[in-house]
Amino acid sequence: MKLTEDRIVFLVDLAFKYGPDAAMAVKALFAKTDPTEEDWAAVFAQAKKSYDQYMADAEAGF
Amino acid sequence: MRNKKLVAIALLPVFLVLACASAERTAYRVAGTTAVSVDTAMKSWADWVVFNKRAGTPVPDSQEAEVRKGYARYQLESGRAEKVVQSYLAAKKAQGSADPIAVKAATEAVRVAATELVHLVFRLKGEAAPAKVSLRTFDVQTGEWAYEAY
Repeated sequence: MKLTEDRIVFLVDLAFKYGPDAAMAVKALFAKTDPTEEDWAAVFAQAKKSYDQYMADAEAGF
Repeated sequence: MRNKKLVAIALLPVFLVLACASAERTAYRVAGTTAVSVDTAMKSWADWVVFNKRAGTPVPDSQEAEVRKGYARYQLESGRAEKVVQSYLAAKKAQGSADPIAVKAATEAVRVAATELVHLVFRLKGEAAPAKVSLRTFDVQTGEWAYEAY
């Protein structure tokens, strides 16, 4: 991935708003030039986490 | 003249494959950035709910129900998009190339549901919506970044 000025601003925006993990996750996405079935599956897997699981994770983190 | 036509016809599949690869990559990036945005928003919402519960000022049930509904809608669109992508990948595997137009439409539907959810979360938390991030994601979809050489 080439880091143009636009892309650096975008990553900084993400890191500022969502934290470095989100920025790094997006950077990794943009590095894929030819997404495989596994890459797509990993993207959709994130949406399978339930609402209650988010709550349970937050409870555990406090 | 005839030779030029033949060359053009011969190269057409190559151009189509390249165009499809670009559209697929764009759809993948839109789907991926959308998933990251939603995941982060949901973590932030869950922290907010738990924090307020512990502080003795619980978030109203109606607000939790709103976010739950918005997240369910996002999950529904994501599930639909996953099936569309699986069909696309299967067709591509069998034929060597496939039209990614349905994938683009499906990931756009996911992005719309996700944007509504993220904005809802930020509104309920009383924070400014992440306009820059949404705008950048939207820019990817409308082409500002999509057809740049990576």
